[in-house]
Amino acid sequence: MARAKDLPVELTPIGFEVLLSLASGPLHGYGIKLDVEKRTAGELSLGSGTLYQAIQRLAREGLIAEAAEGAARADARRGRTYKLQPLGRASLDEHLRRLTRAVEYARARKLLPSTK
Amino acid sequence: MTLGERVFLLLIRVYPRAFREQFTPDLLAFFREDRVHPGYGSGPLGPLRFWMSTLRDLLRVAFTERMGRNDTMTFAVIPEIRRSPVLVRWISALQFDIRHAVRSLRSTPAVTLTALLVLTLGIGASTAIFSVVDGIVLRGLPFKNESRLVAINETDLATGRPVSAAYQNYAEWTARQDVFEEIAGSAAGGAFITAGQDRPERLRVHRITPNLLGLLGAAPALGAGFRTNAPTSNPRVALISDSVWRRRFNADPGVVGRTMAFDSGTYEIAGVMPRGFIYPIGSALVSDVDIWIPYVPEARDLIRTQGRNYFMRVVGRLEPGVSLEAAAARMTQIRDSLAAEHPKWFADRGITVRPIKESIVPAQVRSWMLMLLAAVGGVFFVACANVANLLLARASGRSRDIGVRAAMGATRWQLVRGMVIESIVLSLAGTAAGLLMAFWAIDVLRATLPDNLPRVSAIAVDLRVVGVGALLALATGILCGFLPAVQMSRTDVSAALRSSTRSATAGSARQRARTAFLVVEVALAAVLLVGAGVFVSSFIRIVNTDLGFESARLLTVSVSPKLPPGDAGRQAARARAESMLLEVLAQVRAVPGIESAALVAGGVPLSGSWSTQPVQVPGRASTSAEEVVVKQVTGDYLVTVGATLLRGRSVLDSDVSGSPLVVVLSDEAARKYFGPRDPLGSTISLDGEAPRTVVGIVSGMRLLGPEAQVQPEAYVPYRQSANHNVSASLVIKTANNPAAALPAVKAAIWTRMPDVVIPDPKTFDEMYAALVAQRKLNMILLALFGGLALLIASIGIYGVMAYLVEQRTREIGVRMALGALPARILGMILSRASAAIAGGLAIGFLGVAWLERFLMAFVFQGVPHDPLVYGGAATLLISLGLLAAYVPARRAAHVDPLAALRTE
Repeated sequence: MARAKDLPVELTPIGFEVLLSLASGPLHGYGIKLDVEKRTAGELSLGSGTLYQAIQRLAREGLIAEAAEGAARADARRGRTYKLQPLGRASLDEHLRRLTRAVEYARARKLLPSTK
Repeated sequence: MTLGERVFLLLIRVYPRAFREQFTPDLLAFFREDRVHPGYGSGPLGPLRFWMSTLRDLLRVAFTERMGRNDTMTFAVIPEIRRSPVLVRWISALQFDIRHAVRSLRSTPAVTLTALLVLTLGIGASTAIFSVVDGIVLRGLPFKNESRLVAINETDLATGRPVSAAYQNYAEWTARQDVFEEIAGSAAGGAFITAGQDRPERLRVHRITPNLLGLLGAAPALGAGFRTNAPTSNPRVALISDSVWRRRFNADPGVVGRTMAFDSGTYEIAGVMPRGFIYPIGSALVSDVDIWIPYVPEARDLIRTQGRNYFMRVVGRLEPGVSLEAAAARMTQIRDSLAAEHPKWFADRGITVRPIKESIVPAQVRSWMLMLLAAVGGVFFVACANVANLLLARASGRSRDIGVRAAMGATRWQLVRGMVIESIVLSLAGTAAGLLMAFWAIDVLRATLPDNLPRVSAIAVDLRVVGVGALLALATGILCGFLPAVQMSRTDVSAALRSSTRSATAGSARQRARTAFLVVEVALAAVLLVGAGVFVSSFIRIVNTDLGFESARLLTVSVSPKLPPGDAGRQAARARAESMLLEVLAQVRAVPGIESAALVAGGVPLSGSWSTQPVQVPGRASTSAEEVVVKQVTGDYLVTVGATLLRGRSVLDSDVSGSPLVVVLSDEAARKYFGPRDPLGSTISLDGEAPRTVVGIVSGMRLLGPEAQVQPEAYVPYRQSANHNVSASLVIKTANNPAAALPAVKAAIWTRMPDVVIPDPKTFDEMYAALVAQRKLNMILLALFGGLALLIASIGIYGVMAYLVEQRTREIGVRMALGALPARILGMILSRASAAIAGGLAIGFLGVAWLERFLMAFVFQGVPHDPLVYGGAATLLISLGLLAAYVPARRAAHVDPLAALRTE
């Protein structure tokens, strides 16, 4: 269990998507679903169980946390609101870095159409 | 909270408690928002898509949450990518799984075939019995809004039993009641005989009040039916059944308005009832009604005279808002006020209002049927446990295969799904074969069910039954497949890959599961075997009951001479009938092959009819209503039926009117009326007649069958009885097969009475068989279930032991190489099997010792905890179980150590 604080962890596809959504600011559960859906053009649609399972694990590992009072507080009927934690930010950055490297590599090898 | 939310809250109970406690409000909030998400589309399919996706999410998460708690950072979640419609992806995944399942089932033919056989037997038996129970008990009656229909009966206060109503009372109820929309009555109408193209036909007639059909929600398929509610407008109209319409009129649509001629007159056809309309719903004992005519009350039905006649079958439809209890209470009030007006009519009559179904299918038939269902359920569960065990064994043999799939990235959910689908495929195949077996079994059952069982015609394999079969298949598939699958999916991947197939020995948990299944199987089999034993031993007691007479080679024919109609010369007609009957008797006695013959009036033994008369014994203060069974017999009667004359003499042909009045009593009657006194030479009088001298004592007989009590009996000379019935029955003892003597007997009757109709002659053995038919069927079914359970459990024991031996071949080889004797190996395997059998027996016996009390209601003179029954069941299970274990044990004992050690 002993793990150096803020050392990024491996992300699953869903964990990654949830963190990516929270990167722009705190969201409640269904807000995360809608954001993911919009970003992936509907290719990934999270069910309630799947989402909260991911939230549970991410929170347990300290990647995200409940957003307490304040600006992010939504009305009680929408459920709890979550925000990114430093460890989550670090893990997301690490994951994005890897993805970027992979994309750059693919572009260089003309495996992907280049952006302009 | 909406219904959907409630359902969702119920559904999320599949999640582990901790997860639920943490997230329920959030999940619910999510659910609320998601429900109106435009992505599911509008229209009727929208909610469907929403629920499908919610359910899939729910199942997957429940599964991963419950199974994968120890994987810390692997969010074992499969993203749901929307590339093709959900259904298409789902079906293609299913197709893949099914193809894979079929392939893998075919790769292990021995296990697959055994499992199929067991499933076919289990599901076939369950489906067949279910269809019987469904037809008789569960299915609704073919009446509109059946739950509001009630049967209104008078009750015999002495026995508490419902009886038919008197017309006078029916009329008063109609006038006074205010709890039913309507009440209607009907009564048996005997038979009409009509001349057919080639031979006369008897059609069964039922008389109905004209409002009956409307009350039942039935109407003729053709014609208007009875045109008016005024019953006397034209009583000569008739409704005919669909089958008469087809048989006699070739389904002619213009039949309404034509006439039909019967022996009792000509009737105009007012309509044809639809196919499948049956009223009253009876049993196979009586044929369905062919003709309905209006009930026309006779003059004596309308006034309250000295005599009372009870023959109306009354039904009512409850007024909306009126409960059965309220209606019953109101009818009791009406009965009480009628009782105050006509005390004589109600001294012995109460009233009861019951749901119509209860009046057709009595409570005891219902509980009997449910008992059969429970018993066959036991067989089904033995089959399930067995198949689960086979699959478990089979899965163990494939741990390497599973390890490979897991290593290649198959999730646990996928592995489990594959295995569950495999077992569902197996159970569907078993169900298909089981249904085929059920078709056949139902035909056999229908022919075997006792004649007096109601609604036998409703038994059929139909969609309901097939649906239940399909449900059973699914339940079996999941029951049998899930545990082995979960067990297997726990396989340690690296261990499975490292080891070879052969020595991938099952973990101790798996071993325990298999032994547990085996114990359950044996326990259930023990329960069923003891149940079967209870029924078999009871039936043996019935068959061994001494009837007091000899039913073998006895034949009875009832003869009713035709009397001129009307009361004119009644006395003379009686005398002529009597002399005709005696002449017939003389003719029959002369037929070759007849040992002896006699006439009896007052009911033939075993026929179910009997008559009693009040009895007075001089010098004995007799209670007012003391009655004795009386039969008027000719000489030879007691000899013919094989009764034992204990003292004195029998009734003789020389006892005629004018000679001293005599009577022969049964020992039961003598004991009851005379106590220690010597009855011979004493007198008794029957029915207030002149006293008769007791001239002989016979041993008592069980006139109503083996389960009936011995009643006091009195035998009176036929020619000394003033008021015997003009019809009597011939009782004939034949030298050989009674059926062979029948034509000659009929010919002998016809020489004296050429115009008489001879209704079905019966042998005593046939009547006896009909009396014990239900007991016999019960015994056969329960014995069958016990046998099936025994067979399946033995297959289970064999399967598990064979697998065990195969798994331990190497170990056994080592032991033998080190000097273990074959006998020791044999003992080792057998002792394992014995432990499972003993455990199962102990559990099963404990269970059945408690369950037995419910069985006792269904058997004749049941003996609780009968050591013979328990001993028999134990002997059967132990011997067959050990035999099943012996085959693989013997194989183990003959393992060649060298070959075994080389197998790696």
